[in-house]
Amino acid sequence: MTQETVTPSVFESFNARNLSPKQVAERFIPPPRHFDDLMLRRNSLVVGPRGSGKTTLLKMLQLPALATWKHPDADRYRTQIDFIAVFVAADVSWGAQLGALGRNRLPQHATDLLGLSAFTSHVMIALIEAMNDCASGDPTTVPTLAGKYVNLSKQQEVALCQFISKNWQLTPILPTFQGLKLALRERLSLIAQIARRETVLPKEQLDERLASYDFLFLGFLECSIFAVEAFNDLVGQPEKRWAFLFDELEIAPQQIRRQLFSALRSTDRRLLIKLSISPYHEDAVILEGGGSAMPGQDYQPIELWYPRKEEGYQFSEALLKAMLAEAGAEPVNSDEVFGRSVFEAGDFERESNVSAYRPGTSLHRRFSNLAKKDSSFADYLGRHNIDLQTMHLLGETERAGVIRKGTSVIAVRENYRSNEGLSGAPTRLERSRKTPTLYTGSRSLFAIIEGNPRWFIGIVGPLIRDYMNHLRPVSRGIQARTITTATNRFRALLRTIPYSPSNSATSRGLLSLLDSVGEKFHDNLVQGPFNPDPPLSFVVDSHTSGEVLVALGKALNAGAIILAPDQTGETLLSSLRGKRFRLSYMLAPGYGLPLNLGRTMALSQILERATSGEPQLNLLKDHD
Amino acid sequence: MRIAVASDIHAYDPAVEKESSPSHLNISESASLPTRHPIAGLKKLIADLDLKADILICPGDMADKASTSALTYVWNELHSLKSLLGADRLIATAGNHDVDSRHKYNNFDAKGALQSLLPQFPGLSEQECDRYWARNFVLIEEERWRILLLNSSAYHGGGKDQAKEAGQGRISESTLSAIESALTKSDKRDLNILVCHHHLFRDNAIHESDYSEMDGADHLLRLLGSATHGQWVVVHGHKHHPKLQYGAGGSASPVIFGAGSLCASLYAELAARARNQFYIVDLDPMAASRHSLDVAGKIHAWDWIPNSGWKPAGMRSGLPHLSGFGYRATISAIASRIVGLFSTSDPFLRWSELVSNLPEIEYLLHTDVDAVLQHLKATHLIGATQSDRGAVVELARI
Repeated sequence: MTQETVTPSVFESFNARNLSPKQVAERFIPPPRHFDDLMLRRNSLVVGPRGSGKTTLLKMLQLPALATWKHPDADRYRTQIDFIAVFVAADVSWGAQLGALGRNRLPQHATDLLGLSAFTSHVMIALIEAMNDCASGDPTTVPTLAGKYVNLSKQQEVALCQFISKNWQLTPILPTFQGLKLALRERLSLIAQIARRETVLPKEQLDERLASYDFLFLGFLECSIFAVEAFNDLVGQPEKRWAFLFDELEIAPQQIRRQLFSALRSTDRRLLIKLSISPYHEDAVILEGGGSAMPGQDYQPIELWYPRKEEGYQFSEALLKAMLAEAGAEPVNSDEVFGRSVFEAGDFERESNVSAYRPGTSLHRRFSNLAKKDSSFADYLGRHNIDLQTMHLLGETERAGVIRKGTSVIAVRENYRSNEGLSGAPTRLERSRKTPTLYTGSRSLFAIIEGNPRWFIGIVGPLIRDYMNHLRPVSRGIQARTITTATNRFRALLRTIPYSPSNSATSRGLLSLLDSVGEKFHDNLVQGPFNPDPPLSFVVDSHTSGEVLVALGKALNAGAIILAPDQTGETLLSSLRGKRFRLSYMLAPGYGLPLNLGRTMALSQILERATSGEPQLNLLKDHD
Repeated sequence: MRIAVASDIHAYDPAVEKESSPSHLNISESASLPTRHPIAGLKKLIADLDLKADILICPGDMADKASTSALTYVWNELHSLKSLLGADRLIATAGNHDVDSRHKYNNFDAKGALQSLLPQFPGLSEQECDRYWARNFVLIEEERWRILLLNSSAYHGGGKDQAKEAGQGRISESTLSAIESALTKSDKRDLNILVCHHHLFRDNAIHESDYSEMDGADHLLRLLGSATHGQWVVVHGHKHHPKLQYGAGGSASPVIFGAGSLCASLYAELAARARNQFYIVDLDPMAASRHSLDVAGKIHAWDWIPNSGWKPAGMRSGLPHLSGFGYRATISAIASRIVGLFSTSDPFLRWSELVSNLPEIEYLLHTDVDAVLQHLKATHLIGATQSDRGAVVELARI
């Protein structure tokens, strides 16, 4: 009997949501700039696609995580942080639980009221847990955290809990942190009970009945401030700061998202708000109106993506170093494990003063090959008076302008272009035979992984095992197969995300839209006249349809397209119009594209010319 | 001494079992997902928590309905669990489902499949295995402990009324007498453990009509509870309803640990009361002698949550994440000792403080802890808070 055998793919296997703070801390490598920013004493909005590490970053701020974290920089971060983190997990606070509260059978305002009250109870539980961590930790074990802990006597704990109980309208069995937690759990089941009961009671007196439960009208912010103030006063640290971390805001009900966005404007100096959310959301417009929180002023946006691949290298190198150390390898650099990237020859030359352009080098061979089979490239060289035999003697500035800029494009064009003299224009079939060793080497691998820690662990992990087995650079073939598998799995995931173009009655999957873009870029680059700087990114112009906009939003949240920086500095988008994006480099091997941001093209222009109905072929043969 | 217990696995082969899923362990399913495959999950749990044990015990029903392919599969997997745990031994015993009592696979040899497993079943030396099959029990003796391994399914596949015999466990008079004589010849040990498949007395927590207990076990219980051969701990399976209690009799009656099933599908009434569980049992003779107890032990339990993996057991899982055994006293006496620890200045008592003043309390059955808490509340107006896993956090006057 054939059973479904699903191997967990890197795109779904790992989620920090289910890990305890201590488990998160075991393997945490801080993405340098992002974690530094998050440590700051300011409100933050962490924005990133799936797998970019939002949950991990937030969870790492909690005391139990910081206390168990072993990393060379851990003490620096522990000294720097000056707040107690209160982590409010999304999966328990909203979503299914709130959805079950009599939805569709109670009026909206009643569902909202009960839902907010449940949310408030969850925030209270998280705060009590953080207070307990703060009062029960051992200051002697990690000296750099000693200042975060407080010494709370039993009498003080009882007094504090009695005080908080009164304000939060709780009657715990015992006035202790654990007693409060249990009482809040009971409150949560009472809220669910009220919701169920109200579905069968006459609707006329609904409001009166709801109004009789005073606790339903407690607000999470006021209650938190009250408790924080009481705690701080009791321990004699009136300025002690508490950072409330709200994870996965994209799955929160809209009313809660609105409350949290407006909380970003909170001016209480003891309270910080740090939110995490995926980049695109229709009601991100809440952040745009007058009187709403201002980026840079009320909060700091932290973008967990790297529009320019070089920005992610430092993080990738750090991740690799940690994984190699864990595997027991001697410290080596990434080139010793994966070799140099094919696209990098120009940089190599600049760094080492050895010309990679002289006759006999692989780069020179590639240029010569292309010049032979591609009259358009030969013309280009002619127009710029470049003789391939003496190319290496040119000055750096001359070469930079004409040749070096186009190295990646030349590599891709040479790789995918067949000989004009023999078979005319290349067919898809011919292209599909190429093995993408083109994308191997450390820097290309890092670019393809996009600084996404989940992808990194899933893709580089098996390669490190191979490296450890042979203790020599991982072969180009194995790298190519791993990249192919990863790209194809990512494509499979994108295929499952629905997208219904306006001219089609059926859903074709988000991938079909991205294929139109990727194939257009590839065709332009390989089959059009040679252009050293071809379009590789697109602007969502005014002619883009609503359906496409929605699909692009999903693509952005899935990490399939990456927002390129612009002047506005907007990170959380309610509309994609006017924005510039590139395709994720994870998709580049499938389309045959260089790993560059490239020039820009209008999206409507790309889609207009895309052949509709033609079967979309992936250049990669799956090696699974 | 530390014992890992994986009982009543009931693995099945979908090529044979086409209608239903008697277990969460389908032997043709990919073992790569620790959230969906109980054994893969267990391997992850063992690695994550670095769990170690001296002995891995499987008290029967490795396979469902004597499936030969499932038997082989589970026997191999148990051996790999044994090495992951760093255990010296894997000791199993035959369950009613391991023996082909209905002759589905073999017309006359009900235990043939078990006897042809390699390494030899039930995981002992050739001589010990022969003794197990020949005499329906074997006494395994080490310096500090002895294990009485009993085959309570010895008569399955035979007897005057085959179907009736297959529906219950049995220990015969001759086996009982042979055990008594073996124990008399053997030196007493601090730790004495009986491993068998069937339960020793009728014990239906739910109002089901289950008469499958081991016939003749009343005599066995009397023998073990007589104090003549030391204090005994019984580990059995079969019921799938995790339970920790003392046997009937006097103060020396054995501790009886009815292990829940590792991954068999639980019928609805039982599923409302119990979960699939895996256990680590710690037996501590030093603590026993320190606190003047006959035996002192703790059991850690983990629940199998399909699609989520192994998680620390909760309050309504059968056994909670941590339970003790060995400390026996009246509920009111224990409560009085606790009340005596309250001072007027101390607003509440943490569990850790209670343990340092009354260390035996760690070896109190979890059901006795509940009874003490009820007594404290009703008689002394002392309330307690408990964690999600059922552990007492603190106590205070209310």
